[in-house]
This record gives sequence, C-alpha cells and structure tokens, in this order.
Amino acid sequence: MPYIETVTGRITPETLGVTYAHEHILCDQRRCRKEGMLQPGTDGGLMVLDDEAIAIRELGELVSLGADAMCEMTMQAWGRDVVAFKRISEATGLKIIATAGFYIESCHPAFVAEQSIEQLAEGLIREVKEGVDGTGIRCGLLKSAVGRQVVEGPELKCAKAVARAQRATGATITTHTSGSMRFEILGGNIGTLLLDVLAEEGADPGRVIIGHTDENADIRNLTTQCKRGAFIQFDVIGKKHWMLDETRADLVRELVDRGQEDHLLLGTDRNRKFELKSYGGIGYAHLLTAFVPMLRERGIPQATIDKFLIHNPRRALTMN
Amino acid sequence: MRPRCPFGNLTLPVPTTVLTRELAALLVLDVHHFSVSPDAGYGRLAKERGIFSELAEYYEQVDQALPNVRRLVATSRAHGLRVYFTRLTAAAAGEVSPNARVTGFWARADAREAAFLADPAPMAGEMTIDKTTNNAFLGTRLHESLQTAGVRNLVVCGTLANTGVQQTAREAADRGYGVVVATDAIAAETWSHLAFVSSTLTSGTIRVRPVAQIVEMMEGSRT
Repeated sequence: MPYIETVTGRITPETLGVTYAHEHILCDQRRCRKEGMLQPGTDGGLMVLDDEAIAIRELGELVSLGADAMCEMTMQAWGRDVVAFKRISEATGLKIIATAGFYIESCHPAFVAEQSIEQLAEGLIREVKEGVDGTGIRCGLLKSAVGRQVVEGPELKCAKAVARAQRATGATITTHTSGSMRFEILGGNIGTLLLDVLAEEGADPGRVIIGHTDENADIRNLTTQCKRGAFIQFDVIGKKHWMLDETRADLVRELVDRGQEDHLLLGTDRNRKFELKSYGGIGYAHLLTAFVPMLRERGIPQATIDKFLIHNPRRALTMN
Repeated sequence: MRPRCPFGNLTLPVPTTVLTRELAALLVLDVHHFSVSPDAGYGRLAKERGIFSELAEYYEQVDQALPNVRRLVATSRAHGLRVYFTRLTAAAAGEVSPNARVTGFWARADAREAAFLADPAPMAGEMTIDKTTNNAFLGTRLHESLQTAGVRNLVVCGTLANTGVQQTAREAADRGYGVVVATDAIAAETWSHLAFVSSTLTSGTIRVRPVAQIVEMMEGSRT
C-alpha cells in the first residue's frame, strides 16, 4: 500500500496536497564547526531558526494560504527536532516530512568519521523504518549534501551511505549543493556529479531530487538532469542574491516548453530569521503569493502549477 | 543582503588550484605595523583625527585574521611553499606612488611602522617587497620571481581586503595565476566590505576559501 511518511504518521499519497519541497522550520547552524571570521554581536549570517511559537505562527498563516505539506531539511547535527516538528504539525495542520541524512562536512556529526559506510546506512534505514532516536517518528526523505566543488572525502562517504539507504527503504534522496561553490562547478550545481555517485552506488536516479538548481541555473544542464529521470528543484525562491525570481519564472516556462514539467519541485529554503515575516522578511508565503503569480503571468496553466506543487512532490515522496 | 553576481553565471567554472611546493606560493600582503598595529599607520592617522572608533570593525577583523595568517605562513613553510611578504613602505618620499602620496598609506623604510611584527615575519631567503601601490605586481619584481620559481598558483592573505588584496588577486589572475584568497586571513575596512569582497571575488581563476580548507588543500585532502 503506497504511503507518504510524515512526522504525525503515514498518510495516503492522495492527501498530501500543496507541498513545499525544501524548507527549514527549526535549525541551528551554530552547532556546526565554525569556519571563517565572525562579526562580534552577530550570528555571522548562520542559519538559525529557534522559536517554535514563531514557526507555528508563520506556518499557520501558510496553511491558511493553501499550503498542505512541507519537507523539513534540517539534519541531526544542526538542530533537527522531530518531536518539535510533530508539535508544530499538530498545532498548524501542516503535514511535515522529516529527513534522514547528512548535511555538508562542517555539519557532520562526530560518528561520521567513526562509522563505516554500511553503519551510516543502517542508521539512516532505522530513521526511515523505525523512527528517530527512539521517538517512533519516521523520516520520509533521505538527504545527501556536498559543500565542495567535487564529491570527495567525508561527503562522498555519506553519499554512498545515503544511496544504500535508498536501496533498502525506497525513500527519495534530496540533495544539497553549496551555493558559494556555484562558480566552481560545471553546470553551476554539484547535482549531476552527485547523481553519478548515487547511481553508481545503486540509487535510482528517478528517486533523486537535485536541489538548489536555481542558484546558478543553466537550462541545458537542467534539461539533461531531467532527461536522466531526476527531479530538479527550484528551492531558493525569493533569494535574489542567487537569482531573480523573474529569471526563475522564465526558466520554469522554458522547462515546460521543453516538456520537463513532470520533474520540477518548488521551495524557498527559509533558514534565517530575517527571511521570516515575523522579522520583516518575505516569509514562506512568498512562493504562493508572489512566485506562483509570476508563473501564471507567463501563461503556465494551473494544471501545470499543480504538478510542481502537488503531483510531482506526491510522486517523489510516495513509498511502498 | 548579499550582492548578486549574474556575470559569474556566464562563465566556465573556476579551474582546480593545486597547492604544492612546486606550483604554489603564499603572498602575505601588507601585514606589518603600519597596517595591523592600532597605534601605527591607519590607527595613528585615525587617532590624529579623533576618529579611531571608525576603524573598530577593521581591527576586529585584524584580530581574527592574524592567527590565521600565522597558520598559513607556518603551514606553507612546512609544506615547502615559497612565502612572499609585501609592505606599504618606501625608502623616501620621492619613491612613493602618486596614489599613496594622496592617501598617506605608506611608511618610511627606517620607521617602526614599516617593520614586520615578530610573527608573521619573513625568514632568511624569503622575498620582501616594499611597495606603495595596492597592486603587489605593479613596479615590483614579484612576477619575475614567481615565474623564475615556476609558481603557477597563489594563496593570498593580508590587508586591505577591499583594495590591495582584491587588486593583487585580480592582477594575478590576469597574469595567469590560479588564486586562492583566504577569506578569514584578510581584513577589510568594514565587515560590509569584507562580505562584499568575499562574495564577489570568485570568478575566472580566483576562488575564496577559509584557511582551514586551504590547509587541507596543501595537505592534499581537499581538491
């Protein structure tokens, strides 16, 4: 029987609804290994969302605007709190999908260096099949992340573990590439190289989401990734320093014209306080209130928009 | 708000930079009393005007960057990379560049402000370049020395991030060097300047990295 795993339990795929594919609700990058200088009195631009009450307020508003589900991307070493996610889900009615996997090297838990690939994979399989840290709350996605311009070292080790976990669980792998490296990677995104690694380790390319493809996009690269069967994700919508939303919307139009509409997922990757409405930012709502209208302006019909927000996420998240 | 860099989206990716003793060198730009001691150089000029607090962000960065500069110097030496030092210095006023005559950003060679700190400081056999330009290549023997040594890639650290470091890095790239700028071993006028330089410098053959990652590149555990 097909199902989608949420922090409040399994749901039938038909009930998923409008889905944000890549977000953070609670996270704390201060827990990661520090690199670089820090301006005194600031958080150095780190990703920190630590107020559950504000999260409930922001996500409650989002539900009232039509959102039904959200994939929460925070990993165990920098603040994933599945029990809090469950509380927030129950308080807002938003279905939340938690993720098992690894973020970039500086945010790896200590056990990554100590365990074998197989041991790391077993830990991920437990989180998907049995639950996180004895809570019984299961993860519905796997995650592999690369912060370098090549896949090597500890991140390669973790990628192999994630691929093995996918073979064992059927869960889809969502991926991260560090935007600061975007000018050092062919195609602007580590996704293709990471897809190669995951596929070589036995993962199904059709069950891989290439994330952050809208940080340095090339329509040629995106089309190739789609033709390999992977999902591609425009998940930093609203973040102008990577790309203008107008350009993103143009690219979506082009992807539709090239027949790749069944591969696209959308998200905003909210991960810092200043991005939330409560702190004067554009909030999670920006995707539905500002970006979707841009798609309509470009003649993309509602049925196609529903693919990006409902049908493609449903297909990506469904397990058997 | 981080700046957009749309032109970076148009180019081929920055190629790999190899940091071995045969191919790479470290440039320590203008890390001496004039530039990093609060009672000298920039700090002295500010105190003379009663505006020293305007430089607080600069010296906050210097305090964090100096240990990283020392680490880069020590690691480079340990791995056999050549280390070059520059300083904002001239023997006499007549030798000062037109730009520096206006800014005043230079020290007479026989003054304390010209001297290096105890650490980092050049060792015997390491080249020291006295200059009064932002660009470490202009009017100096730096390029000639690097070419003679077979150096093709440079690690760049020091001051000022938004003038000398940036200008030297871009000049180095134009001259065909692969460049790695150490983002936590440089100091800019303000934190905003540092953020802008760090987020806009990567292009062509220039990349930015924190010192910890540069050390890994020298050790061979990071591409």
